[in-house]
This record gives sequence, C-alpha cells and structure tokens, in this order.
Amino acid sequence: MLLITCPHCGERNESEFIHGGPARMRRPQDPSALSDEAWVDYLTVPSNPLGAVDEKWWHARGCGAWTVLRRDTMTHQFLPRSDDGR
Amino acid sequence: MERYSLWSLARNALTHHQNWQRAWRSPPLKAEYDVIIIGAGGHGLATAHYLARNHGITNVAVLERGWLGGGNIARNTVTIRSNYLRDESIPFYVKSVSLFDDLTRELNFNLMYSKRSMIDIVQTSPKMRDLRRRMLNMVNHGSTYEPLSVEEVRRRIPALTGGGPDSRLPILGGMLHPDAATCRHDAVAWGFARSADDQGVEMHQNTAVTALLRGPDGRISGVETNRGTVRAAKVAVVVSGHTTTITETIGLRLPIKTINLTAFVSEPVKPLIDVIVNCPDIGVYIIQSDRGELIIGGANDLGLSFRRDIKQSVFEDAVVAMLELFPAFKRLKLMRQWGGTLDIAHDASPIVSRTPIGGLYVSAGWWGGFKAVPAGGYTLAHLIAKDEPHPLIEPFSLERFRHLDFVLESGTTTAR
Amino acid sequence: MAAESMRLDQGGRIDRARTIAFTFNGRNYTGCAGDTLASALLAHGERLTARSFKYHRPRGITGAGQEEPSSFVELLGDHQSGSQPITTVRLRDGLQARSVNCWPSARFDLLALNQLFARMLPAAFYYKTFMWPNWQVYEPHIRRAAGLSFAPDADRVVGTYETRHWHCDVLVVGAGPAGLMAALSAARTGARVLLADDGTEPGGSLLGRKEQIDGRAAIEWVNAAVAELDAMANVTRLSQACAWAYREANLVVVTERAPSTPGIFQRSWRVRALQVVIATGALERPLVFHDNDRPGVMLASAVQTYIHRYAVRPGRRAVLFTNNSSAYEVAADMRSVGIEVAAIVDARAAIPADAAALVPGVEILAAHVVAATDGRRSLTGVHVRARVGGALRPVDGAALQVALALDEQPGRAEQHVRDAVRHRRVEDDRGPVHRVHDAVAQLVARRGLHPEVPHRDPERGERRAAGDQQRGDRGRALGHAADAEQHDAEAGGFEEDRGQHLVGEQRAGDVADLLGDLVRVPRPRGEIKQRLDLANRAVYAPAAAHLAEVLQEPLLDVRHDISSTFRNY
Repeated sequence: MLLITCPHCGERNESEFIHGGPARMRRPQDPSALSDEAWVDYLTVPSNPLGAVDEKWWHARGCGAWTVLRRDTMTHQFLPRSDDGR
Repeated sequence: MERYSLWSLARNALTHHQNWQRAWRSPPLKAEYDVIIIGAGGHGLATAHYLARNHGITNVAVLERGWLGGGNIARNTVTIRSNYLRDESIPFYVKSVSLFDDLTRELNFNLMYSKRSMIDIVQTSPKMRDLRRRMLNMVNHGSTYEPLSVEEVRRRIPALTGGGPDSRLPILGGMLHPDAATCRHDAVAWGFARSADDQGVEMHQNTAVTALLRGPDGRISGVETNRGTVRAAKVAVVVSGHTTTITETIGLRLPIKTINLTAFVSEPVKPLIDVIVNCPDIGVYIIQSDRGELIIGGANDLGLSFRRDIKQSVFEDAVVAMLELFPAFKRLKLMRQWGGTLDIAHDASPIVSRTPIGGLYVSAGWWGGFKAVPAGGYTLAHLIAKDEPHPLIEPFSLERFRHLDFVLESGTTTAR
Repeated sequence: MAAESMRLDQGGRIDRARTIAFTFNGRNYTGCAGDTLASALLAHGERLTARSFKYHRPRGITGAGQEEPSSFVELLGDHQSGSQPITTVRLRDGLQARSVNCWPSARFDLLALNQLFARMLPAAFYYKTFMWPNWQVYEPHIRRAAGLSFAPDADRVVGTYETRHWHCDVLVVGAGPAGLMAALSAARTGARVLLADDGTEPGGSLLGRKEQIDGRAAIEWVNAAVAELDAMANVTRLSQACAWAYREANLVVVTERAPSTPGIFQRSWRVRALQVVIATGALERPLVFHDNDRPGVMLASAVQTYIHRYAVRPGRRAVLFTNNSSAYEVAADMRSVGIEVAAIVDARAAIPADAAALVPGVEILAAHVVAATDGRRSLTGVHVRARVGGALRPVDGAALQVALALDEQPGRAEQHVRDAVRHRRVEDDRGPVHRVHDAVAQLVARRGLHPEVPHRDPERGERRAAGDQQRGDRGRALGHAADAEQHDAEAGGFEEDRGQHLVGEQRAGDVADLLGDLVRVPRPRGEIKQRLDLANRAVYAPAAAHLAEVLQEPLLDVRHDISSTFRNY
C-alpha cells in the first residue's frame, strides 16, 4: 500500500486515492486532421513502460484534489517529475 | 519419448529411478532457427508443441529469460472454463476446454485434470441478469451454464455457511458451469515442454531477449539476447506482461497495459470444497487443490505494475469477501502469497495476431490465460505456420482496434 | 498420567508449581506453566509425535520453535484451527491435540504401508501414472490422504477481532538481544518505538542459552532492558505478536495472538514505520545424512533450548554431529545436566583447542561425518565414517540422540563473517550476541537516535573506506582465494575491540565488517524505506561499502523530522 503525496494533504495511504490511469498525451486539437491509425492509437494505446510512468491520482477519500505523479512501475517508487506535459 | 505409465514406473523402480530419460534437453544455442518463440510459459510451450505436432515445424527455439514454466504458468489459479459473454470469445474457450479434456492422453503426462464444474454464487440481481445473458449466448456456442437455486448451491458447497437472509448480500442463487475444470498448472508446462522437446524443439532457459531485430526488408530477422544474436524469419512474442517491453524495442506499440494479479493459498486441509467457487459480486474465488490447499484469488491491482508484489488492501478485500460466505475459514492459516504480471488489452480480450512487421507475431492480452493455453498454442501455431489466422482467432487480431471492432469482455471475470 | 521422567529438578523458565493437564493423541499427560506441547511431551520421554507426509515415516521433535519441520498437530475443540508445529503450541489447561496425517495414531499408522511401495512413489511419481482411465478415478482417494488437518467446520471463535493502525518512528521486529538493544537505543532518544516479538516472553535466543552480558546472566540483562522499555511512554511492546507481512512503503502487518485486553481474541496491527529493524534472529540449518529424520535427531540449538528454557533432558545419551564450534558449547551444557555425550562427530579436520577444552573426556571424531542412523520408532544408533573415503562404522554402542549443528562450507572464508551474524558462533570470545546488538546500536545511533554516540574517527574511517570498497567488490566475486585471506586478516582485527562498552562505541567500519552484504542501506525519507536485516531473510546486494558511506551522512534528528501528517491519521 503506497504512500502517495497529495499536494494539499501530504503523504496519505493509497487507500484514500482512486487511480486515474496514466496521464495521457493531450487530446489532439483537431482529431479530423489525424489519420485513422493515429486516432485509434490515441484512443487505445496507453503508456506502458517498464520504468517511470506519469499517472493521475484522485484524492477521492480526502480533499478531492487531482494530481499527476511519476511512479516507477517496477519499484513502485515515486520519482520527481520534470516539467513536461500536464 | 519414454512413455510414462505404471509399468515404466515399476520398471524404473528396480533401478531406483536413476535411468529415466530427461524430460527435456539443454542443447547449445544455435545461430539460426526457423521460428523463435519468446517465452517458455504455458502459451509458448503449447505453441511449440503444436507447431511440431500439427505442422511439422521443429526447427524451433523457445527462449526463456528465467526458468522454464516460471512465469504465470507457475502462478495462476487453475480455472479452466468457457463462460464468456461474446460470440467471438465463447467458441475459442470451448475449443480450449475440449483440448484440455484430452491433453493428459495427448502429452502422456498426468495433468491431474479434474473436471469438477464451477459455481458462480450470485448475490445481486444485476449479476444474475448478466450471468443469464451469458448463459443464453453460451448455449449458442456449445458451452453450458445452468441456474441453481440457493438450496442447490448450499447442497453442493456445504462449507458455504454465510450469505444467509440476514447477511449483507444474501445469496440469491447460483450458476453452474459443468464444463469447468482444474489441473496441476506446472504439469501443463512440463507436459508441453517434454513433448515439444521430443519432437525436436529446443528450449533455452536463462536466455533473455533484449531486442527484436529487423532486416533491411523491414521484416523480422531475429532477436538479440544475452547470449548473442539468434536469427529467424519468424518470431513470436508470447510473454505475459512484458509484451510491450519487447515489441517497443522495434518501435511497435500495442494497446496493452500491464497489471499485477495476486493470489494466495491456505494451509492444506482435508477435502472441503469439490467445485470451483466463484463469487463475482464480492470479488473472490476459491478452489481446493488436490494437496488440500485452498487457492484464493480476488481482484487485480489497479495501476500499471511489473512488480509481483502483494498489496495489503487487495489481499484483505479478498479475505474479507471469502469470510463473508465462509466464516469458518477465519482460523485457517495462510501459507503463500504471490503475484503475476498480466497484459490487458484495451477491450480485455486477447490479441493473437500478425503485426505490421512481417514475420513478427504476438500473443498477448491474456487476462485469464491459463484456460486458453491449449487453444492459444494451437491457434498461434497455425498462425505462425501458415501466416494466416485460424478462424477461432480472427476476431482477436490487432486489426480489430483499427476498426474499433472491440470484443468487449471487461467485467466478465472476477479480476476486474 | 505418565511421570515426567526427563524433567530437570531445577532451572528453566517454567513454573513447576502450576501443573497443567493436557491430552495428546488420546493419552493424558501433565506439564508445567511455560511449557510448549513439545517440551511437555519430551519431559515425559515421548519421542514419536508425527508421521511424514508421503511415506508416513516415524517422526519426532526436531526443533524448539518455528523451525520445527516434522511434527505438526491439530488442536481439538474450541481451538480447532488447522495445523501448527508442535513446538509452537503453548500448554493450556484442557488442551487436546493430536498428530496430523496419521491413522489411527502416530504410534501405529496404517498408512505407513506406503513405505512398502516407496520405490514406486518417488518425487513427482503422480505425473507418470494415474492416467488411465482418467485422474478423477484416483483423485478422491489422493485428496483424502492429502491435507494435514481437518478444515474448520464452524466459526468457533469466542471473542472479537480488532484492528489497529499504528505509526511509529522505529519498528523493531524481534525482542532478542539485537531487537531489545535496537529498541532501547531508539527509545532513549525519544523516538516512538514499536517492539514486536513472536515469543511468549522477550529474550529470543537468550532464553535458550546460558549466556552472559556485561558479566551477569543474560536473562538479567533482558529483564532490565524490558523494564526500561516498559517504563517509557514512547515505547509499545507486544508479545506473541508475529510480523508476517512487509508491504510497500514500510507497511508491516503484525498479528498479536493473545492481547491482554479481555474479550479481544486477536489484534491486527497495520504499522507504518519510518524505519524498520528486523532482528528476527537466526535459525539453525540441519546437516543432511541418510535417515536423518528419525525421532531423536534434533537441532543442537533446540537441545540447548529444551535444557535451559524448559528444563527438559531430551535424551540420555547423545552423539553430536557438527561442522563448527558451537556444538561444543551444547555438549558442555548437555553434560552439565546429565546427558552422556558419547562422541562429537566433527566434519572439520582441525578442532580449535578452546572448543575441545569445553568437553574434556569426550571422544572427538575429527574429519568424520554421520552417514546413517539406526532405529525405527526412535533413534538407537549412529554410523559414522571418515569424511573423505572411509568405511561406515558404528559409534561405540547405542546412541539415543544425535544433535545437529550449523552448516558451513569449509574454505568459504568470506562467508565467515556472514555466518557469524546469521548463525550463532563462539569463535570470537565476545560472542556474536554482542556483535549483533552492537551493530544495531551503532546503526540506530548513527541515524541520530542516540545522543551519546561519538562521531566517527576520521583516521579509522578512511582506512575502513578503502577496505570497504574492496569488500564491496568481493561481495560480487565470492570464493576468490585472495579475498579469503584478506578477510581472515581483518577478522583478526576484532581483537582490539574486546572489552569495549556495548552501546554506541562500534565504529562505522566495524559495522560494515560485521554485516557485510546483509545490509540494505537505509535511505533518507521521501523514498521507499529500506531496512536493516540482521537475519538475512531476503536477498540483498553487497552493500558494505555503501553502509560506510551512509554512516558518514549527516545525522537525522528524528524527533523534529516527524511530519504532522502522520500524527493525524
């Protein structure tokens, strides 16, 4: 059971959060300009690295804040995020 | 292949069992094969067996980074069934069950195959409706599901003492799936390995594939491993959990995410439960192995994970659910807990398919892949041999995502 | 009721005034308060307490605690709950227990007929047969024969279960010498400490040995340590509490089996700790030889425990089989309570003089091994041979008991230190007990929890740093002869530390020496917490060099570092 750092509340138990999936790339501004393949990739292909992944966590049973955190999918350690994406 | 039988056991007893033929060899790794199968798990070994048996292709190497049969084939909770929802899914699993029915004889290896049926214990009306819907579709495809009354459920599962009218979620009834079975999972791996080896297939352990390789024509040309380069015109990726790790070495991204699924066993006790018990409303399933241990599983962990670790909350949820219906189990002791890494595809159905890279095949997304081992191997062997999908796996091609032609099976297993 | 013929008149941590009546396999016995089922039965001279799983071979009591591999029992009546090792059942009035996996009894088991077919039943034989007509013809019979105990058929729990969530600065698992010292060191600085011990009383390995600490009996030291801990408001101490799960981010689950609160049957603690010290001690590994499972073959450490803790003589005449010097202390203890030591079979060619001096008059068979045993329901004899070549020969008449000692591969000098901590040894006259709790005290102290710790000696620190680098490399290349020499040379360096005070005066390099590649480096807060594992329960990377580094890091003052978030859970 991880200890997740909520921006407002600090380190709280994983059980207070709901996992919101990987933080995906931004929704394409103009979907119709994309090829079918690219659009389907956006819809269906997630980030699945053996290593660091950016994830959304919702502090549902706490303050209700959403946060994006970087976690290593092998060690489960939380890692510092560089300033990229949301 | 030295036959296994009571007579060979007796004969070998005379020489204190020192002269048994090795179940499989450890040959030196060659520089080239016709086919490379990455992953000596259930599906990989089954594919090797069927490639040799059904298609006469034997110049095959199965490359395994760890030890043979040490992945999910060693970790699953041995539920063999075909009670799926979709028209595309049910025939595949029906075929797998029928292959399992005859597999002990085909492999000459006692899989301890026990056709003992499964009972879904239903505690909510929506789940009852869902199972009835499945039942109606299963009948169309050669599988069987029968409704049971509460009394019949309790009669067949005497240890089920909870779930009475005063409980939180009283039992409403059940569904019986007579086709369901269990067996010894390790025996499946070893049986396929022994048979494949006997037919000339080579299995190489401690051989980790670090990258896929493409030739100048863009087709697959082989793999890079920790023991050097191995060339082949056909490569199949059959590694649960690490599929994308391997395919992304060649730039192929797949609609798959990797999750962790855990299970645990209790201390061994005298026979108590004869059927496979599944409780979909509260998220736990229980099987008693032939050693007497209760094998217990629940939901998968949320979030991506390649780490086969136990989350206390997931473990407790499964235990709490079990104790609701089987309060007498409170005092039993836990023996082992473990996890396994699974792929789930976007629509929770498997992917057995060619890929945009010629000669590269992928068998992934097996979320509940133990029951599919024979049919998965059977159909993947067909695909590799003929470069055309077997009819049973046409709906599971990678192409289906292009057309948003999902085979939606989310929610049809106890693992969420 | 059978008389307790093997009970010693004095000693032990039992209360002879409080007799307890119990039933085992249908027969009535008495024991004393403080006994386990195993010790009480041994006091009556009962040896055959179990049957093996497949062949139903006669089995007895091998260990004294969780390490017991052979004898499993199930409890009857209200306490029915699957099976457990006979050595972990606390004696209670009205206890009814029976051996599992035998019928009709352990003494006479019909299923022992399996042994007639033993040759047909090798490992994994069932994969090679039972195929025709199909497995399900055989399955019901196999299932009935398998399974160790009867499954509980009703919810017989009287009392409620409770869950507690707990946060602490230091969780110490194990209240043996290392754990008590670690808890004391941490608690004296004001840190919140949770000390969880699986035993019925604290002391761990000290309860089973005649050990001395600071010139007095070890039990006195334990009592003083426990008294000091219990007097501190920042310490919570649990007994009969098993830490059984180590989850992510230092979440440890502890089950308290017999809380003192009336009406609470069991309490489960979900503990989040800043630091975890695992001081669970070491278990002896048995030596392997033909027919090593006869009732009467026991671990040497277990024999010591039965003598000192339970005041029981586990036999009358014994042969010890060993490969290191710890067995000589056991032999001396055995002789002191009237057990005749017929011989010590030592696999080593050269026996250290100080070890032999402990057992004057005992025949020592150097460079010999036990090769076979005699006896059916009980051990009656032992056969030895020279370790290299050599014919089998019986030892001088009948031996009633063999005690086994620790396993070490001669020549693996670099394992010398590792084994010294992992298993108890008496090569160093300060004893491993001292080393271990020195090491923990040092480590805990260096983390800023003990105000009296001197900072490291820069000179000594530098010299050690160089050595540590090499040691780190050596950790990756075990078995290198040159390294073995160096290691031996440095092992000699412990001589100069003799006589130093226990707490806080070890130096960084010495800790690295002691713990070698057992230690995973504690990391600063904010990352997944690492832990100090003195019992080598998990696999760690060689970290001696890293340990030296981390001990040079700035000290953390845990008292001021506690986030209020934790307190608000």
